[in-house]
Amino acid sequence: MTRRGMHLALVAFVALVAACGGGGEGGGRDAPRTASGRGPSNELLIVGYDREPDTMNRFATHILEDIQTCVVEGLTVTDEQMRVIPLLAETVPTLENGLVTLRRDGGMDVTWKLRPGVKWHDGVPHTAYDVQFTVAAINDPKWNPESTDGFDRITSVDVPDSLTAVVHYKEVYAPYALQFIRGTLPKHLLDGRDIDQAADYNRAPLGTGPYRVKEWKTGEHVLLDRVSNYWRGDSLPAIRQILFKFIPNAVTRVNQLLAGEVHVVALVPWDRAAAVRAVPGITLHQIMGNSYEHVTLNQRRVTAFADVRVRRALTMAVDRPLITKALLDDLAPVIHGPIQPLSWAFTENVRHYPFDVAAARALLDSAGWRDSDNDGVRDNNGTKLAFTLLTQAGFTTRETVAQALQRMWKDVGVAAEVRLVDGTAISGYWFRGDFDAMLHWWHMPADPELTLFFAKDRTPPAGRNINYVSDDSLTTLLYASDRTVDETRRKALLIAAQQRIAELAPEITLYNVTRLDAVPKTLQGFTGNPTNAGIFWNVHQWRIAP
Amino acid sequence: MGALLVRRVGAALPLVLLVSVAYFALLHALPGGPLAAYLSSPNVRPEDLARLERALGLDRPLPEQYLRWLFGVVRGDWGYSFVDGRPVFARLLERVPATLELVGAGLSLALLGALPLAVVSAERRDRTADHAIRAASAAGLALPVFWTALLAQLVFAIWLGWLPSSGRSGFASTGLGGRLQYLVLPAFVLAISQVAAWSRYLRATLVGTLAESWVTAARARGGAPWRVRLRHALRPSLVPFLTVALLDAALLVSGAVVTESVFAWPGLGALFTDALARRDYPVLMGFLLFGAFAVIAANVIADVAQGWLDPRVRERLA
Repeated sequence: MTRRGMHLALVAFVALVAACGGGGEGGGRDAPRTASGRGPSNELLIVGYDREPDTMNRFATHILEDIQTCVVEGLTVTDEQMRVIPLLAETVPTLENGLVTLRRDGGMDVTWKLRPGVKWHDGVPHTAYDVQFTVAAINDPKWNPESTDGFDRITSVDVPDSLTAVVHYKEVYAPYALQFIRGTLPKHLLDGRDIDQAADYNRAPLGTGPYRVKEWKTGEHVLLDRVSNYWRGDSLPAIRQILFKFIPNAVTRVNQLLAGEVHVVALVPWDRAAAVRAVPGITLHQIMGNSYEHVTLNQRRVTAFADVRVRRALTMAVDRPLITKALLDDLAPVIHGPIQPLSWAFTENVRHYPFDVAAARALLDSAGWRDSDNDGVRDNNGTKLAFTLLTQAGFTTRETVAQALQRMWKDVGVAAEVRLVDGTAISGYWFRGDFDAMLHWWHMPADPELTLFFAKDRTPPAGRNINYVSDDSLTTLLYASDRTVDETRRKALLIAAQQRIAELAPEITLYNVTRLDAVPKTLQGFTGNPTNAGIFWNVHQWRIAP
Repeated sequence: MGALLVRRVGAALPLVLLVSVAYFALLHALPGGPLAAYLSSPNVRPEDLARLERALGLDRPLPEQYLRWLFGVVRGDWGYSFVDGRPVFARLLERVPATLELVGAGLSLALLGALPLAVVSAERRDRTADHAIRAASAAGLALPVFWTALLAQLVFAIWLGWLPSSGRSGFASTGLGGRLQYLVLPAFVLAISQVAAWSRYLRATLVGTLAESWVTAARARGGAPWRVRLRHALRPSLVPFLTVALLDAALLVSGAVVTESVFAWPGLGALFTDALARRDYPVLMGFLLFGAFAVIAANVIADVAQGWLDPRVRERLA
């Protein structure tokens, strides 16, 4: 290449790089100008959604139920404070209101009083027979819903009148109030049919909610249309149509927001928060999440982790406030246990492990881990205190936090090697227990059950105890809490369990996974929601201010 | 033509069979699996996992799973998607129009760009224009598609606001003009790397052809320079180029993966990304067949087109 040719190439390259480099902040400086965008209105709200649903059937889907919640309503719903509130039920059954009774044989009966006057979108009344049919359909081996949890403990459902369903459980089931959170199936439409093959229902379900599916254009969008006879009144919902556009690429999603082509983006990635905040007309709504980021320490795989002193030392070696401040822009509060502050069962009153390098070193010394060969890594009887930290590739925040952890552990003589694995593959590793340590989060259920994660007999495949923690007193507490319906007594058991978990330090809890949702500044009635109910749980209250 | 098609398919079948075994084994060797998405849901109990595994046939030995798939395909049944339970063939077919639209537009642009650039570059060999074109095409090849795509979004959708940043259409009927707006950015981005690759390939072939004796003879006969270039040099150079271009097209049809993902373009490439992330084995196996057919079809078209351009090939094929 001649010198002149090289110059040309160089100039072209520099121009391109400069154009791209300036992009990070630039988008928000001016009001969005757009080729096709129009502002949010009560006529149309456009949502940039990260993935296309597999099915609109709430019982069969295995991704978040945002779109479905606009169409199909549960008997109860969890609000933005994670409280269980009645929706199609008149009230939430409890021991106090007499709608929950414990039987002498160890079982329980739950009476659901349904809200009168509720109709399916086709005008047929919603009744207790639909509740009865839902239980039968889910327990029928011919159909494959995502989960049969709880339903498999129901022996029968009685319908004394069309608005009362009495559900008989063979044993006490503490999360009974969430049993029908995914709604009911319309008996008049689905009775006698193969639900797996009921494409009409699975693509555009019959519901009682404020919206119905008008169009599902595969690969592109789902369009919801307001129903005309919503049971809360004809004036609701205020927004006529909601368009969910499928935009799998996170950067493109935010770009569409910048360009004004979408108005709402749920679950904004933390590393895009600053860019989104700069968009005029957009509010970045922040709410505490029901997930927590933590490092699982696989005791079965790494013998050193079986020693509580090592686990505590690894926790104390981590400067969590620094991580959340420096790497997460203070978006995520430091937490100390698996039950998140929004839950009614949460307690702050557990043992905390402050950042204390000297104490961490002393603990490791006392556990017999010393650097005998002066290579910077502690050892014990010829074994190095070294392990692999598995985490998800392509998740920028997590990759950075993993590196920070690696650096902090190095300071106390522990060698961690970071290994990145793609998102789909990672669950295969933990399910087989095929890892040393793992940086990840759990999406906790709205019910504060911990048994699945910490009981000693719930290691995979029977559960998600992948710390392989094995503690009798903790296991007893957890199972007792599952079999207690009285909320006060259950809370006491769960508090004791949280305190025991903090003593054992089976995992290093880091921070709460804050939920960030980008919504128009003019959107009224938006509250967010930390649970699987998703941000659309109260979509009937949404309104765009003029 | 019919005989040619039969010959091509016959020759490709054993290869497709072999590749399908390897592909099947590889897919199942990937960590994760179709139930991975269920694992992190706290509602899904071990009993649910076992039930879903049975329902999807994943509890059977791998060879049996493969044979079931193969016999299904022979009978014309490509299976059902693990994700939404719909027939695989239908799921693939509904994505074809979007992909053909994008690949058709992108490659037409690429061809329009590559032909003149290659001719100028070969004609002005080792002079400034040639260097500039080669440098630009090297840059075009080196720039990752996702980067060019995001840059294009930034400049034309966000800064200038001229074009929509992604998607295939607004939801309201926007007419042909509206549809074209959505096509412009992804088609250009797809074209950029192809222009770069094709212009370099065609330039190399042209440089060889321009040195041939018949070109010199045509010039000596006093043929107009552009007529000599187009008829005597470019036409024979197009014969090998055509095969390359059509094979590129076939590969893109079976998945312009990155472009479609970044631009949320609802074509086969986006479906592939999604199916791979969710380990939707039946859909992924369907892709293999689809890709194989696209490559075979491209080969047949290339053969026919070569015959049209080159009488010697026509005689050999007849």
